[in-house]
Amino acid sequence: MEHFGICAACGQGAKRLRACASERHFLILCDECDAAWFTLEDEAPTYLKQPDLPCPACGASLVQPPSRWATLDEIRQLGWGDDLVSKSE
Amino acid sequence: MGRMRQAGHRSGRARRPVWLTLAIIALAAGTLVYRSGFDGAIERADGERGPQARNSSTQEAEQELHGAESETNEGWGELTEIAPGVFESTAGLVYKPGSREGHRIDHVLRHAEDAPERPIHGVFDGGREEIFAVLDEAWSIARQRGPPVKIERNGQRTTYTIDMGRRVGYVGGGAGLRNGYPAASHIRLVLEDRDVITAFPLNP
Repeated sequence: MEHFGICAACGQGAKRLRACASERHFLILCDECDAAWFTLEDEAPTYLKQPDLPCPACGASLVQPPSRWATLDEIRQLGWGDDLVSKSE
Repeated sequence: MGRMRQAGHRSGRARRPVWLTLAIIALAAGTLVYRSGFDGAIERADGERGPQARNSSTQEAEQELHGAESETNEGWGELTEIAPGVFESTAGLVYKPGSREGHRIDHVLRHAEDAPERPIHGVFDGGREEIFAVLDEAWSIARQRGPPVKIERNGQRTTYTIDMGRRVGYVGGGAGLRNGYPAASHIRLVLEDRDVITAFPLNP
């Protein structure tokens, strides 16, 4: 599982990169409590509207298909590969 | 000689006169009697009032505020469908469609078993019924705002960390594996209003 560390908001979930249903935007999302961050530098999370978690950029859902967790290749292409705490090759 | 007299004078000023000590004792005793009588008069005049009754009234007000039905553990964890796909527990927690699992019930039930691939993953003791019952118990404790509850608010989201005072599960995931799966005695309940976002056992 690729992630950037433990969510500080809930202390349990992993901070992972999520592609919205339009597959054009990526957001860091806690896989436990849905806290969201635009960048890894952001400390305070954003809480998107439940239950669909609309992408702040285009409104497409971060929950409904084809939204998905980003692949390791996508994370690397976005330049965040070195920030991963854990990755499965 | 002068120094000795001066020292003796200081000593004499520091010692409280007997009449003053008696006066302070009498005044304090009078105050206690007065306060005791005051409280007693309230209870005699109105049997519904008094410290215990005030606590009860506060709890009733909170129950109304949060829509709770019961402070007892009878039937805790029973889920009633109050709208299509929306379930309310006995203690008033609401489980709605949402999350990548499709429903918050399923999201919470991920914590019915270990997930070794996750960095940390609290696992509840017991099955489905026990899990929703212990969550109702935790919510009941959380509403009392007592010392075993830590509350953090961020907008409409509230995170409760409740010390259950006993084992309710264990710490699993990668952290659990490394540490011998330690017992968990707390429950973290993440809510928006009364809507459950997630809940899991942990050791804070």
